[in-house]
Amino acid sequence: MTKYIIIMLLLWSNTLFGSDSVSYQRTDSLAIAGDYLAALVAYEQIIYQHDDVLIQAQSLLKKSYAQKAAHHYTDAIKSLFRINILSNWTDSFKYLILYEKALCYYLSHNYSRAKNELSKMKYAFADSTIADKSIFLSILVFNELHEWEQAQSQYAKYMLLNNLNDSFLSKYEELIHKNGFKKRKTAKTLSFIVPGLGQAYSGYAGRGFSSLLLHAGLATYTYISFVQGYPISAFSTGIGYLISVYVGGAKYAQTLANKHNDAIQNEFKDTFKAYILKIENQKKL
Amino acid sequence: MTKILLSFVLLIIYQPIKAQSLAEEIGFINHLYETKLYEEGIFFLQSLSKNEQLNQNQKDSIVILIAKNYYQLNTDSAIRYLGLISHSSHPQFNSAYKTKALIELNNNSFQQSLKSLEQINNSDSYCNCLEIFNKYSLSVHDKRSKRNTQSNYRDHLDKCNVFVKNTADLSKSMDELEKLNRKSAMLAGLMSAAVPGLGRVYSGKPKQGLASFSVLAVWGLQSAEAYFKKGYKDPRFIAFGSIFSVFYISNIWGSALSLKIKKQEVYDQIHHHYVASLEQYIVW
Repeated sequence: MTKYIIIMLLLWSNTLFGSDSVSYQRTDSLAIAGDYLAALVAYEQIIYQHDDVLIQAQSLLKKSYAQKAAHHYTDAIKSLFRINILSNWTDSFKYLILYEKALCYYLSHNYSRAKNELSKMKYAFADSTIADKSIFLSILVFNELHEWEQAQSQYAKYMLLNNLNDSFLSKYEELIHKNGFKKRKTAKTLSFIVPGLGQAYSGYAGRGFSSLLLHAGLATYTYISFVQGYPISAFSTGIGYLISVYVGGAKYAQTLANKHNDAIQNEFKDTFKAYILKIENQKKL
Repeated sequence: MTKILLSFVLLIIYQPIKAQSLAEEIGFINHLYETKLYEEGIFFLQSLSKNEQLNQNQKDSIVILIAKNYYQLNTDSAIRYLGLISHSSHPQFNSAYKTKALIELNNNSFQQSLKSLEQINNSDSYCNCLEIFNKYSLSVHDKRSKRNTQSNYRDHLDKCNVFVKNTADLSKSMDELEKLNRKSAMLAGLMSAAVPGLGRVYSGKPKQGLASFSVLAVWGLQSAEAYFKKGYKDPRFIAFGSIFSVFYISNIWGSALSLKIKKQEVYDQIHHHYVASLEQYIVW
């Protein structure tokens, strides 16, 4: 749903174009009708038939929209990278290309490349306010990369630009200071001290108890084997498995600590995404 | 009346324009291919092929171009389209069928590949190499094939060195395959029955042999310990003995199978080397 909203937001940005010397009526109608492959071929025909770099660029941009609508984000990025950006083009057009690249990278979960494209905007335009239009995308990208300080700073700017009241600043503070997070190292150490305690610390008490029972069972087996005169069995099956479970349990406690922390971060990211897309959608209406 | 005449004249003028259109579209098709837009190329060519004005030669050209694009995406579809060429007199028929035979060889469809080679009008040294390698592959996979048949094909393959790079590596792999062919799967199984893991060492997989030996040693020692302590009625002996037995029997079967796997691995190396070398000579 969120992807759809983002796509719709970007399709509206199409109005940035002025009058075209090429008629896109047929190609656009194919894309709107969902006949993406036919639309892609039709856009490519325009690119092939025209030597004008602006027409080629516009067609490639439109082609990337169609690919994006078909969820072929990597193909859309390839089309956008075929656009030859010339210095004499308008800032709004250059912005659109960079923004589209960043958005497609974001939609294809390639967040570090999305950040890279967004960072280019800082140096691409003399007027720094142009890049402000994509600030919501910057926040979403920083959120995905868990770069909370940058996300908070961009969000503060976004609030100022859109006259919003504080909704998430305090939550960002919590994420920056890792409030409510479980420490991996502590989880591991606790599991070494008392098997299963690290899992319980990470918020998974049931799994911690199961781990404790498993250790107790293996320790009992080892002890009984020794007492009854089965040293080989005590060493190989008893101690062998006990060591594996002991070390593996500590590692698993770390994994569970990560899982707990990821759950907190993902919950915030989802809530924030829904909130910011709602605002952006309202702005368009 | 004038309108009807005008329409008739326009229709006559329009026909040659439509007939020439394929030549005009070739430039666009090449553009799509060079830009690596294969799916778009296929879509465009498929829509072109619906034109009833095209003659059979043009239709065959389109089929070859579709196969060319499919070759980059899905070789099975490329084979299917190459099989649709209706006239062996088409100028690209021989090169198309050489490609078809190579793709079939790559897919381990050796008989199909040989049939495709039979369709080619003027067989050249490249076709001969494809044919010999197909026959060599068939002999490797055929249990009833005699070892000297395989060696015979190998001697013929030496004539194909003009198409193949790093022939020393290839020769080494072929020597290894010949050595493996002399080995017996049954002997590998028997060796593992005598000393667990030894059959895998014999099959050319020493690390697997050592691993099998270690696992069986652990369960075997525990079973023996339980047996010597309280005899065969000891529950520990029954439990560990059962586990040991399952591993022991599986290991015998696995050792016999490991020889087959090793043979296939060595053959795959040769196959990959050969096909990759021959692929460089494909001309669409």
